[in-house]
Amino acid sequence: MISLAEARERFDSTSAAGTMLMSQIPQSILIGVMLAGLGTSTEAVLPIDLMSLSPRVAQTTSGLSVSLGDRPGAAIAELRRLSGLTWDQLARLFRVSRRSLHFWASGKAMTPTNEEHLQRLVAVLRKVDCGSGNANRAMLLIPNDNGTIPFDLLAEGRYEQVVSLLGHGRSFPRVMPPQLSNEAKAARAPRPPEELVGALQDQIHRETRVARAAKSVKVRSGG
Amino acid sequence: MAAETNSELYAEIDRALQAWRQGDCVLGEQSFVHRLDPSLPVTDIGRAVQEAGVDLAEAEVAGLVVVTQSCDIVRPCTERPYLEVCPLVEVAAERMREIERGRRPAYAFLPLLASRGLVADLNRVMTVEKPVLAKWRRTPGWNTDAEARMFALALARKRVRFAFPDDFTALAKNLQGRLMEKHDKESVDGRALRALREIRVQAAPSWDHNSVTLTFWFVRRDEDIDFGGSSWSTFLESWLGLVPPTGRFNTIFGQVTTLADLTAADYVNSDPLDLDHLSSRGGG
Repeated sequence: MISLAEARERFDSTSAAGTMLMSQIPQSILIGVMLAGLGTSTEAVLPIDLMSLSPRVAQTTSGLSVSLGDRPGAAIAELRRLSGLTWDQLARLFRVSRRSLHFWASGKAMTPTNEEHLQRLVAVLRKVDCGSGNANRAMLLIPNDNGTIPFDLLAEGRYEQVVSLLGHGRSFPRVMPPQLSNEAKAARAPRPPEELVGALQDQIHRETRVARAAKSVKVRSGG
Repeated sequence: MAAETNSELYAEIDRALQAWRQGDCVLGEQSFVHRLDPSLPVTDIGRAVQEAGVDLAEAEVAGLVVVTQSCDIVRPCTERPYLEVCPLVEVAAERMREIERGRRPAYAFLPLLASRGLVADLNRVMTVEKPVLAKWRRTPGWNTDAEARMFALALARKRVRFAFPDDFTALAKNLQGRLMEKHDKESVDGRALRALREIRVQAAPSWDHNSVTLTFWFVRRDEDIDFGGSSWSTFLESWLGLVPPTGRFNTIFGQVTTLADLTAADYVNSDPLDLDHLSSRGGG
């Protein structure tokens, strides 16, 4: 059995989860982790919001490559959205700096190895997605019965083990509203950047010279 | 009996106001009243009435524009009795384009009044009761929904423009200069900056913290996969070089992204880079 203190210690001592995360994990999840050591299914005691989102069926999968066909920026954005992980945590999955991740997302070429890693990570997250980035993040960072943290497995490239461990998620399909017309998009667009950073504040209108004193009548009560 | 008569009059006012919308105007000689301190007037209008020793000045203006939202204009005058109006002022033709482009947040462009050289002066607002408006002849200031939205955005920007801390505006000075450079000084990364849809900046944990991580979101248009055949990351390197970590802004990230790739949280947690011109700092 893993005690709450032990679970906390594990979070504190692993690369996968820091103290910041600890404060975000509900106590009920940690209790679930504790009960897992008694042979009880962790899922059985997960909080209702997680359970309702994640009726999982543990299974082994193979063929985790995915043809993203996307530019890395979109894949990184999807990985971030699905995983709910912070930029710093995502960077740790690749063992690079956060800055490198931003540059990849901006179009800088990735090495084939990193590109494959990205695609496989997205594939895993699509499979285990339970419909909420926050819930997915909690799932990735909570140690299992053996103290293994799915996040660490992902960083090591053990994709299938993560899917096997977490099972398939049953996320609801994302709502894809119809596209706005180009005219509507244009009307909602902000001012161009160069106009916004050069705001001029001086008075340029011709002020009238015709002015007269106005009389006021005081009213005691507002209304 | 008097109450019945009044209710009929109120109903008549309400009917007259059904046609009015935000951005509608009254043209011709109108009065605009503002309060002043007669011992220290700071405007020409204030100085003109100083000798009278009163604290209210009534100036002639070329017209007034309604800035109250349309939904409030058409509500019963007994429930929503007030309206806000701004004066219409004349500007030179060469300034009109600056106002239309949003370079002058103190003014709002009204497309249907441009040929008359009139714009809304957003620095002054006056409250009037609805029966006053009902007697005016309505002149539309805009024609299309898009123009109405632009006018509403100008009103919003005047009030909600984020006042960036001074040390940030100092930090952003070089980036701002690169954005604004033109013609023979123009650089490729400056042109790339101007091809962006918008620039947003996020300060974590907050703008007033003593150690701040900045993240610049350079939001490109979906269709601009690259710029002139060069990866956006090339330009990103150059742009980030213009905003080196300084003072309490000790970590600075940046990313070229699309709206679709930004999360709603990223968008809400960041501010549009909206700064005063380098020579007119102190406003905003």
